[in-house]
Formats: sequence, C-alpha cells, structure tokens
Amino acid sequence: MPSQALVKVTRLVKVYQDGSHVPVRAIDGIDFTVAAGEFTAVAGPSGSGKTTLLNLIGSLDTPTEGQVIVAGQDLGQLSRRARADFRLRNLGFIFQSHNLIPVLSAHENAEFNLLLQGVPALERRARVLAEFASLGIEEELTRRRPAKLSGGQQQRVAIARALVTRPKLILADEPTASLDSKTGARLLDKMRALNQRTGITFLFSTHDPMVIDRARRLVTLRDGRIASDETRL
Amino acid sequence: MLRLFKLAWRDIWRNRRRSFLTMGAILFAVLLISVSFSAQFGTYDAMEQLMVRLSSSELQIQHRDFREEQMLEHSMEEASLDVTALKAAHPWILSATRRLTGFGLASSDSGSTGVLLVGVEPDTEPAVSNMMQVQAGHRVLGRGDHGRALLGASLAKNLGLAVGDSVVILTQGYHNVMGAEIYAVQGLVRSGSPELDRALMITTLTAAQELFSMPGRFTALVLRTDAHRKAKAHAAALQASIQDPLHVAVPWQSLLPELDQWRRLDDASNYIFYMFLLLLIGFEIFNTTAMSMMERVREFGVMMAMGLKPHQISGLVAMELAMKTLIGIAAGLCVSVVLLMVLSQEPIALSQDMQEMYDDFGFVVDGFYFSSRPSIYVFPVVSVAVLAVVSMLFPVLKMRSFSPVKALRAV
Repeated sequence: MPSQALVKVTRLVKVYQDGSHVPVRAIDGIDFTVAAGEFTAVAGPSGSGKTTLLNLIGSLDTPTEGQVIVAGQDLGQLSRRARADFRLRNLGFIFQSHNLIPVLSAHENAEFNLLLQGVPALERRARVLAEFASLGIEEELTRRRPAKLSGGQQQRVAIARALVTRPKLILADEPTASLDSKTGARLLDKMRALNQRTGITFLFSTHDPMVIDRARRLVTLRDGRIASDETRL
Repeated sequence: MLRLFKLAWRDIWRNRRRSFLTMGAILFAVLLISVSFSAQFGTYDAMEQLMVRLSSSELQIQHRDFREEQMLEHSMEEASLDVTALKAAHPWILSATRRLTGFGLASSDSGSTGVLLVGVEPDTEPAVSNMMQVQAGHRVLGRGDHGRALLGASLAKNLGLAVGDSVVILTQGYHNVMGAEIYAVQGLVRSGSPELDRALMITTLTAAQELFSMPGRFTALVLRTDAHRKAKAHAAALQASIQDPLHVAVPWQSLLPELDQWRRLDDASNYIFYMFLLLLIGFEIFNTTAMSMMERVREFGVMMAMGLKPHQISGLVAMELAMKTLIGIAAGLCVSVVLLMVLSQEPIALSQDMQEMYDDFGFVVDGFYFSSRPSIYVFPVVSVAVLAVVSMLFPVLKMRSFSPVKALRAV
C-alpha cells in the first residue's frame, strides 16, 4: 500500500517557446508527490500539461524552474548520460502508440532493457517469458515482429517491456489511446492487478474515462496547474 | 554491443532498396576506381617497360655533365669503369653495354637530315635493349660490321635509302674534329617510336669512336637490371659504389623525363575525376544515412526513454553505415578482382585514334594493359572508407545532441 514519496515535484515550471516565439508555460508552478505503490492518473484537457509533467518526472525533459526528485534522486543534478542510466535502472515507459522496435521480435523487444542492464541470457529469457505469461501473451507470438502483432498484442508487449526490469515507477502516456475499448479495459485491469501484486507505482497521463475510473488517485491539470487532486478508496 | 550489432544489421534490411542503393553506389565507386587504376598502372607499366627496353634501359652511368650538355667532351674513358666489378657488387645488374651517342648530318642522293648516331657493342647491346631489332629479312649488326649501319625505317624512307645503299655521315667530333664516313645500310629498324625512327642511325662502337675521333671513349654504360620500378633505388646504390666523382648513375626516370612528367599529369587529371566521383558517392551515402535516421527519430526517442545513451544511438547509426560500407567495399573488391583477373590476361588493342594520340606524345604503347597488382585496390578502398566516415559524421554527431522529448514528438 502507498507509503513514502517516490516522486516529489516542487514549484515545477516548464516554459516552451512556441513557433511565434511567445513563451508558453506548459507547467506553471506545480507541487506534487506520488507515494510508492500508487496507481495514479493525471487527467486534463489537451494542452493542460499532462505529457509535459510525465516527461519531466521521467527525466526525458528538464524543467525551467523547480525540482523533481524520483526515488530519492534529484533529476536536476544528473547529466544526460546519468539521466539515461537512471531511466534504465528505475523507470518504465508505456507510450500511446506501442513504439516497439520494428526490427526486433516481441521477445527481443521485451528483453531489450534487461540486456542494457547486463542481465544474463538465461535469466532474461525466464523473466520475459514469465512477464508474457502474466500478460497472456501466447508463446507463438514471442518470435513475431511488431508488424505481425495486433494493436492489443503490441501494447501488451510494450507493457511487458516496461515491467520486466521491475522498475520503481511506470510512466504511461495515454496507453489506451490507440486501442479499442475492450482491449484497453482488459489491459488496464492487468496493470492494476500488477500494481496490487508487485507494488510497482503507475503514473498515467490520460483523458480516457476507463483509466480515470480505475485510478485510485486522480490529479486533474488545467493550464499547467493542479486543478484538483482526489484520492479514491 | 552484440544486440546493438544485431539491431544495426536488421536495420540495414528494413529498407532494402535504400540499403542496396547505398551499397551499390559504394560497389560502383570501388569497381570504377579499381578498374581505372588497373588500366592506368597496367598501361604505364607496359609503356615504361617498352620505352625503357627500347632505348635507355633501366640505368645508365654517364659523365656528370652529359645530361645537361650532350657534348662528346662529356664522355668517359673505357678504363675508368670496371664493369665486372660493378656486376659483382650489384647482382641485380643483369647485363651491361657501352654506347657512344653523338649527332651528325646524314646525306643521300635524295637529301640530308640530322641524325642521332649511336655506336653500340653488337655482342652485348641485344641483352640490354631492343634498339637493334631489325625488320624481317634484314641482318643485325655484328662485331665485324665496320662501315655498316642500321637506320630507322622513317629515316631511310626520308633519305630514299634501302638495304645495300650507302649513306654519307658528316659529324663534328671530339674536340671539334670533323668526321666523315660512308656506311652501307645493313638493315632498317622500326622501334615503335616514330620520333626515334625518324632520326636513329646505329653503327658499331668502334666505328663511332673512329668517326668522332675518340678511340677508347664512350658516353654511357647502359645497364639492364632485374626491376624497372626499382631504378631510383638501384641508381642510389650504384652511385655509392662508383669511385670516379665525374661519373653519375642515372635512372630511366631522369633519362626519359617526359615519360615521368606525362604520368604525373595523367595521374593528376585522373585524381580530379576520382574526387568528383567520390563527392557524388559521398552525397549519396550522406543522403541515405540522413533519410534512414530521420525516419526513425521517434524510434530513437523510445530507445533513449528506455535508457539507451546518446553515444549508443550514435554507435548504432555508425555501425549500420559501417556494415553497409564494408559490404559495398567487399562486393566491389570481389567484382573488381574477378574482372581485372580476366582483363589482365590480354591487353586490349588500341584504336587507330588512340595509337596516334600516344604517337603524338612520342610514347610507345602497343595496347591497353590492365594491372592486377594488389596495390591498385588500396586507394579505392581507403578513399571510400574515409568517405563513409566523413558522410556519417553529421548524422552521428546530430544523434548525440538528440532530445528524447523532441524525438518522441516526431511523427
């Protein structure tokens, strides 16, 4: 169950220059924490700053002002290489459109992070197959390349890839946006079950009601600020 | 690393047509440059060997001032050079002969013309050069053929002379002593060099010494060696063992400077062509690499999000191009080696126009030769490899400054 803060965001500001060189405050002074084990959704209309917030927490982007601490590490203190290493060791990403590497098979995609972490081959295989089994990915699909998988199958492989390293935090940016509602609901249920079973923290960016309904905490953004923060039982 | 290698390999075949285009361009560059080099070296070698064999041979020992001023006063005494000792000291000297070269005016009933009169040792000259190769049915000079001469075929034609006719020669000899003699034409030579054939008159060394009033003297000791390409090194070695400070060892490159200059000029124009070709291939490699990179920006963004470091992404792109370059070079080499093995077996006959062009330059070439020596592949392989490295610099450096967020936003 949620305990100490895994993510701590303090007075976070992100300003972009748009095409007309007018500064846009995508994130406008957010203070926000996520405890370990949470299953949280960040919702809000388009342009409210959901994806920007996830990118900053995921160390994919750097803030204009403020501080982001994840797993006790101040991300602002890390170099580009150290941030890449931090992501590899601590974070998992699930993107809107599956973003598997097209020239690798489902199995190779899922084990890619383990390989980068230097996990031995036998252990990699065992962990990937276990993850595939828990997500209901049939063995016959493991050798197929992404183009030979359905949208739902690709997203399950993407989730397996994010989970297999047992990260502290999974950041999922609109994970159901490219799926039909039935497939999306099934995957969300699996993710929630995984959250309960493993204690891995999930942070979603979404405006999909299915995700919002299943989240145990809902943070709503509007114009780069937190409009509401609601915890459900 | 192994997985990145595997990934790079599979990425090559993701867009086969584009990869084949890049590898084909590299193959074509290696093939074209190798064949050009082979033709260049083959023809140069053949031309050099023909020219060297025809007249100068690989090396000569001369009076140090003879090349600057071809005066008979710049001649040497027979006793001043010990040929046997030189041959013993330098085993690469295969044979040696003396020559006395001077100028004169040859006359017949039809007219007069300037000639290059060369006195040779009939016993040893054939082992050094092909100068005395006479036309079919004519007799070569022998040691006792005093008062007889061989004429260049064009010279004989211009003077209206045939075998058995007499030719009068008038010279200004050693210390300006006038010399005059009548020689019987014993045979005609057709060297292949039109210039030489218009002026060459050959007699025995003793006859020439008598004509020029310089018994016991000669202007060059002509040496045949075991390798014409080593002539400069051989000349340096020979020079070190020559005792007389008035004598110098001269390689054929100095004796036939126009041949060396022509080769350098030809080389320079060919290198300009190669540079243009390489520039085109470079643009092609750069273009396909940049395209394949731009198509995968989002994919690279995902990899970076997963924890791949910028230098690893750069390494991936570099590895892909390195593989394509290696495949292209290997294929180009295979095709070139097979093709040149076939072409180097038989020279291609020159067209009449080409033959005339070479004649105009005063060079002797009897065909279009291809060389198959391994060094011809060095430039194409190295230049294409360097080109690939230069072409990949921009994409690879660009990758290093990639922002994962911007990459993930790419369509």
